Amino acid sequence: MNEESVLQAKRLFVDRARERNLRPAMTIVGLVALGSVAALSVDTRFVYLLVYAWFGVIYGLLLQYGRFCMASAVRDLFAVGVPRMAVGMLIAVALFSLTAATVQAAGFSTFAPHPLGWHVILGGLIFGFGMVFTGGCASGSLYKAGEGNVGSMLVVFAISFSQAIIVTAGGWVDALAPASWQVSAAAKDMPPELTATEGWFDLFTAGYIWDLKGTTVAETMGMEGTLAGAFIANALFSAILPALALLVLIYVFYFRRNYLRREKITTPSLGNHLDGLWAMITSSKSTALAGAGLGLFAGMQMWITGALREHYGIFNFGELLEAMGYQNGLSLQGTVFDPGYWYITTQEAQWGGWILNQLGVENLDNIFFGLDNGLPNPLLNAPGFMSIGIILGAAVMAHLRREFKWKLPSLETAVFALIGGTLMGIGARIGMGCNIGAFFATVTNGDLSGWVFLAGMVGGGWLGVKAFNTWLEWRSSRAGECDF
Amino acid sequence: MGMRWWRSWLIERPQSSVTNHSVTVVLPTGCVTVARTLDCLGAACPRPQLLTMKVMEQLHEGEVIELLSDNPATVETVPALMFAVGGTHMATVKDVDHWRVYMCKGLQVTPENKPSEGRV
Repeated sequence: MNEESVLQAKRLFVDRARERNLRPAMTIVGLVALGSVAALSVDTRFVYLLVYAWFGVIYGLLLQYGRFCMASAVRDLFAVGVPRMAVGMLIAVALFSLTAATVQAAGFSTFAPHPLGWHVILGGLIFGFGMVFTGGCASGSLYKAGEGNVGSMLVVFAISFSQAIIVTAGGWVDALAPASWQVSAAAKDMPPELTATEGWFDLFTAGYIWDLKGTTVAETMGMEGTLAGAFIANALFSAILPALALLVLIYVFYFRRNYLRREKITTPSLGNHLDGLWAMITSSKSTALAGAGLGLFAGMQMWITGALREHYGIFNFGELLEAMGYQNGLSLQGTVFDPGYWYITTQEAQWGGWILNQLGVENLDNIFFGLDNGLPNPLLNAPGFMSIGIILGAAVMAHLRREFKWKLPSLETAVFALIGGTLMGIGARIGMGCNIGAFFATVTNGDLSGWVFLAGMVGGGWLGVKAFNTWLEWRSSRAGECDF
Repeated sequence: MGMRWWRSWLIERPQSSVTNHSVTVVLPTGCVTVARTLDCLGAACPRPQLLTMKVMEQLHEGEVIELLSDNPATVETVPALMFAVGGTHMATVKDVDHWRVYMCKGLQVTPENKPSEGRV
């Protein structure tokens, strides 16, 4: 075969494949559109929920395109010394912070800083350890589920239920809470429907978290609400400079040696190093691009949700649900979880919690569901539709790129997914969010607690890699040379 | 029948396997002789990367390893992995539902084993 005929055959193959894969992608988009029309025909106010759903689809497209996965960022660095995803993630942080600053400056940011304490690093540690075994972080598991990965669906399942169980667990686990939390929680004036002095997570929330304060760099520097506060304090100081410092560290420890060897440079000058740094940064283009896109759309989502809240005269979707006649599952304050921006784990906890509630578990007497987030029917859970949208959007992109394939996990992968997902759920609740809610959305909004979560996550990831390697060694020593 | 199917992927489904052989494969850039085939179909990161590194250790400079994977994230990370471990990514070929990735140990590549960047 000559070169031309090979090329021709290749082109034909690609064309056929495109034809074949456009159809499922378009079918998914069509079904989401059809569902949207159906929801609007029931009540036009569902447009508030549909904003979440459609932004979810966009996030899904971008996550799959950029392979946006914090698990691979941390793990590849330690397991195989490949910094590609970590670099992409850090560039994404820097770019995202700029759009977040624009949103703050325009005055429609819905971001609330996280309280800083030991729980952030501990939560990150548990979360990071778990995500090495699941093969994906919270956002990564969603996009991988969209690629047809059944193992990742198990991870989402485990994250949902472990969170739902941990926030309602009582009895002997209460012994985990120190007596001082008990005193502090009892001193809070709580509604009688809640049993805030029972259940360790309630004690943790009321007796510990509520006594801490979260802040942003702009607030600390007394520049809150100003243009300089948004761009210099919150974007530059909180996100861009730390990200740059980490990029330099990664270059020095993971990239420099191989780069110089490959380029055959024996006595490197500063210019060589800058070239190397640039080569490292540009090798993670798609992740960085996805990060910039995610930042842009997350900002747009905040803006549109803010405009809709103003239009309907509400502060929270719960009020709209009540006006539409859906009172079940609202919290004591008449609210539901409605962050107005990119979030992942809390709505997954609500799915698990709702199912447990339907099965007869009394789980509305705690702070997490009963007072803060409510427990709405999954069909009325707006951020929940954002997560579903992410899965569907990722499926669309995977089909378009011919990467969709139903993949059943082996028993080992399935067990890892469930155990790792459970750990991630526990870590996410202790650390108050996942790699998105507790890291990505925080550092880009001027809240330094996200870097603490990252430190915990990196530490947990390192331990996870060690454990995973030990497991592989043990397996291969048992199975013989050629079967791993 | 149904139970059988469940058993087969639950219990008997191999996680990954390595075949030692010496077969010649036609790549768009020329012919190469593959010394090891690492079948990682169905496996997710980091397993394929870790196993690739393990197999690389057993090879001599210039020998070629073929990785079969249906995990897009794995396939995409191979060039960066080769950069980190001092190997050469030669080609990535897309089959119907998986990829075949060809890597060569060491930076020295013989003329007919010319590396090709990107996907084919």
